[in-house]
Amino acid sequence: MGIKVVRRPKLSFTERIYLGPIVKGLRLTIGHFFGTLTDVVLRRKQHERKTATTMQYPEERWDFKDNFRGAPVLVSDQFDRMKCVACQICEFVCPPKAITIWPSEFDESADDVEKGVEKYPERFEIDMLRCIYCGYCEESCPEEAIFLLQEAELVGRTKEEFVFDREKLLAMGGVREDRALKWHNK
Amino acid sequence: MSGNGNVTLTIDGTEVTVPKGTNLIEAARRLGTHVPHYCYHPALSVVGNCRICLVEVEGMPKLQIACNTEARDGMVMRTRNERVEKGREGVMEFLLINHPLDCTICDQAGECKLQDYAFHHGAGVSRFEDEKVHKPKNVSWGDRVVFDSERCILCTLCVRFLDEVAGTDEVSIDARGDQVTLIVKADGKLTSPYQMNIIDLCPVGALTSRDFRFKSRLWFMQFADTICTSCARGCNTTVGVRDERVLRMVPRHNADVNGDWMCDHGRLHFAIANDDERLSVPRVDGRGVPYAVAAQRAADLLREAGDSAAAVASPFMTNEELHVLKLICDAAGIEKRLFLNPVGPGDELLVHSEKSPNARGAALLGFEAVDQDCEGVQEIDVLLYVTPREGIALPETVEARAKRRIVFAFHEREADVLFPLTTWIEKDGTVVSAGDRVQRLVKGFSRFGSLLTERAALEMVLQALEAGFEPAATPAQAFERVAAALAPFEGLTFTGVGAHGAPLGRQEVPA
Amino acid sequence: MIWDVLGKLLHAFLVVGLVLPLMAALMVWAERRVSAFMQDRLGPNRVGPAGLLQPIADVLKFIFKEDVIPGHVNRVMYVLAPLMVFVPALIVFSVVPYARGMAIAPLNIGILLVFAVSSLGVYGITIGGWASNSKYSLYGGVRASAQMISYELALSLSVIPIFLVTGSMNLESVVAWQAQNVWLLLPLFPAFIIFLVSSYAETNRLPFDCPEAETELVAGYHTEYSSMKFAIFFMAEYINMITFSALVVTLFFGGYTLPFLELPAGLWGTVLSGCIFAAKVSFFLFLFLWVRWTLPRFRYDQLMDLGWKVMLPACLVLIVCTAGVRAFIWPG
Repeated sequence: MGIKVVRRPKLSFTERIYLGPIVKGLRLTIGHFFGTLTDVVLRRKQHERKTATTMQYPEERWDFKDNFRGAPVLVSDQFDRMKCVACQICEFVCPPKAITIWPSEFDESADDVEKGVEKYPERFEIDMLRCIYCGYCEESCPEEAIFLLQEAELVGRTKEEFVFDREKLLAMGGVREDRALKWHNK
Repeated sequence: MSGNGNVTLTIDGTEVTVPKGTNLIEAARRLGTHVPHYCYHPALSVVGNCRICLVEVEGMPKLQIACNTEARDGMVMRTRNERVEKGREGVMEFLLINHPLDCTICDQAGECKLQDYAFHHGAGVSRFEDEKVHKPKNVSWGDRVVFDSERCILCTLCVRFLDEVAGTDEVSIDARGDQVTLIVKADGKLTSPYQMNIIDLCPVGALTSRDFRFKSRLWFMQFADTICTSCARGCNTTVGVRDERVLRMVPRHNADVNGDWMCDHGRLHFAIANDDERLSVPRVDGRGVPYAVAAQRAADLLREAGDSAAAVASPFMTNEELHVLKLICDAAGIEKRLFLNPVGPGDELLVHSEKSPNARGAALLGFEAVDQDCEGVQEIDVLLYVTPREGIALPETVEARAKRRIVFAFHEREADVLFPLTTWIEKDGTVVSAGDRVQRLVKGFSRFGSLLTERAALEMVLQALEAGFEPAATPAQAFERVAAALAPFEGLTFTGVGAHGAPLGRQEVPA
Repeated sequence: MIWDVLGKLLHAFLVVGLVLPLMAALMVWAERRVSAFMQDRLGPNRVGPAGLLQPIADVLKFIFKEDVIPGHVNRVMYVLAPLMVFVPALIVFSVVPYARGMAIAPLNIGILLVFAVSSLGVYGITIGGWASNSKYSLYGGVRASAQMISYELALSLSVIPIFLVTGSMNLESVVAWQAQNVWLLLPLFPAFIIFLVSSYAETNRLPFDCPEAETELVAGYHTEYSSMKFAIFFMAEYINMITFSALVVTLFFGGYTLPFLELPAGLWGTVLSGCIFAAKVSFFLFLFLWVRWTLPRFRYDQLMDLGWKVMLPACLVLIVCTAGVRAFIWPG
């Protein structure tokens, strides 16, 4: 392997005074300037803008696709009954171990459906700081009791605030219809 | 042709010779071939009612059940081909027709043969579209066993165990057709002291333990193959542990000790391991101190006292711990070496009348069994006292005969030097069980992070007494020291003792 | 007499103490928004309408920041340096006629004062870089002194043809000459180019901001500065930009006048002239930003080559030519 000498190209006079490229550059930037200025002056919405790409965050939000994976939450069925039966499969598959469940057994005061289910999560906690939103919990849940919301904006001041308990998760999750109602037919 | 009461047959193209009378499941097991089965158990009579163990035998037009077919000379059997798989798939489909989708709440999930075989032999889908049959669920069979009739596949293992092994014959099949179920004959409650073995036997989740119910899924637990220390039998067990908690204890097969069973008392006897109130640091005059400080103080007391000290050991200690205690006695010149030996009623099956695991080891190491009056111990200066786990304890009046006390105990108490006691699941070591059999304890976890075993604590005391002493680096090394010091241990190694124990040598064992 | 003095002081205070800093603050806002627009962003648009109050927020932040003086600096020089840059920047503006008859100090030697005082600014930068006792600051300071001295030559020489043409160093007269004849841009286009390029170098603006050169020197001469002291450096740069824009307008673009427009007499004429001046200055300020967000920085050796090998000879040739024209072809 010999030494290869790369010679600088000899510049012509017009190239050496740079004027052409400078003008070209100035034209480019001023084009963008007026493009954005027009966007701003006309108060265009994000998807209508020609050049300005910045999202005005609190007013404008992301348009998530349907398969977006946000915060995992618990859901209730149409009879306002917690679907989770504390099988702990989500706790098992959770890669960062964000889910912790303390299972318990319904006592004598439970109604007929609850007695059929027998088992429920006495405490159900998801540490949203550990959660990586992989969706394995939703995928593995045999009771369709845990779902990922399209919610990406979780705010808090302390680590403890990010450990969401059962009540908070249920409140966030709302209702999803249970069509099988297998525990009702016990 | 093979003589001597043996027969030779061909299984999946491989010849194997087995004793006459062996069934095909056991014959296949010799080749390492697993024939699926629910109702068959080697220790119980064969009924052949689950039908999953179908195999093909040449010359027989239909598939045969391997459990109830005796091996014959020249028999040619196949455990896996398309026909067999189709047969098993059909059996699985029948078993699953009325089986509820309870896996999410079923404690058996993870060790359920129905799950395993559905995975390996099942079709994966159900063609059954009608309402499943509903039967009683969550039925209490007393305060230890919970029965779920929907999950039951009527293999009758529980019926046969209680009849043939426990001898109480308490459960039978009731009703007919799709309403068939199991019932407890008398007043609906089981009474056998061995009743919880039917929970282990049950191949599905029909029988679950009231104690373990919903505590943890199987896959969260870690397991330690150790032994039970409730009596001198030393039943081999597998202890399930999660987060420094003992969650359950189940028997482990050992043909020489406990077969496949253990008593309910031993099985449920682990509360002390989960006790949060236990002592977590050594104390000197009531103040928490590091182990080294407590060991130094104990050594000082023992050295001053010399012959006017007495050592009272516990038969719950391992051979290794007792050996170090013996060395301490030698070093400090303690002549009174005693141990408290709890006894109680036994039975013919497994429960032994010695209510501790290692009274034999203590005797071998030169400690004298005494009752709690301790006549031999009168006015002494120092008492070195390792409290037994339960069953017997020195009365205060006896303890009061000593001016100073060095005590190993689970809980806070009056003593000059107080060391925390550890439970059987927190240490490695060996004991001498009934029948002079050396068996190993295997550590499942250590509590409170910094808790030392009695061996380590005693070794620190011995180090403070004798500058030259080096603590054993590993459990194996500690065992080697015991084996070297005791003639009956000759020829035994730590690995040789292994998971199933080994009998002591021929030497005479003092009673 | 006393009222005369007080009036002049008030005038000076209003322009130098109020209008210029306000303009500088506005320029900071403009720079951020213009740069954002050129890069398809939006820039600061939250504080006040269109983000116009952003400079106030910035200033408040600077004021309330902890005033850190690093332990390794020469304290006296370190504190003085920002002021040594800031004060000359303010003074230079005083000779500029920013509206008809309005200049704080309408001196006969106006342009000389400009060069005399603006040269002092380099001391502040060099001393700031030296007093910081940090290698980046020192490099920045050394670069600044060399660069500014080099381009001062071209800058001053490029103005000489103007005086050859107009025959006066009084800026008011230069404006008047242009109003009567023609914007000096036309006859002296090469001088305009040289003056413009040199003024970019003098104000340390891209493409000649080698003394700051954040990719090479962290922040150049003000690396070690923070809070208000940094803000003063910052303000000085923007005031310099305003001053030099004003000078370009005055020298080459007819100052506050427009061709073919007779300014009405009285107050309205003065206000109108001020507006014309402001509009012209605004364009050149925008040019400063425009160029900054378009062109990359020159390498330092390229910068020196340009100054000594191109600008300086070009100026000399231009002076000789202009003098020749004045002497032989078109004697005034």
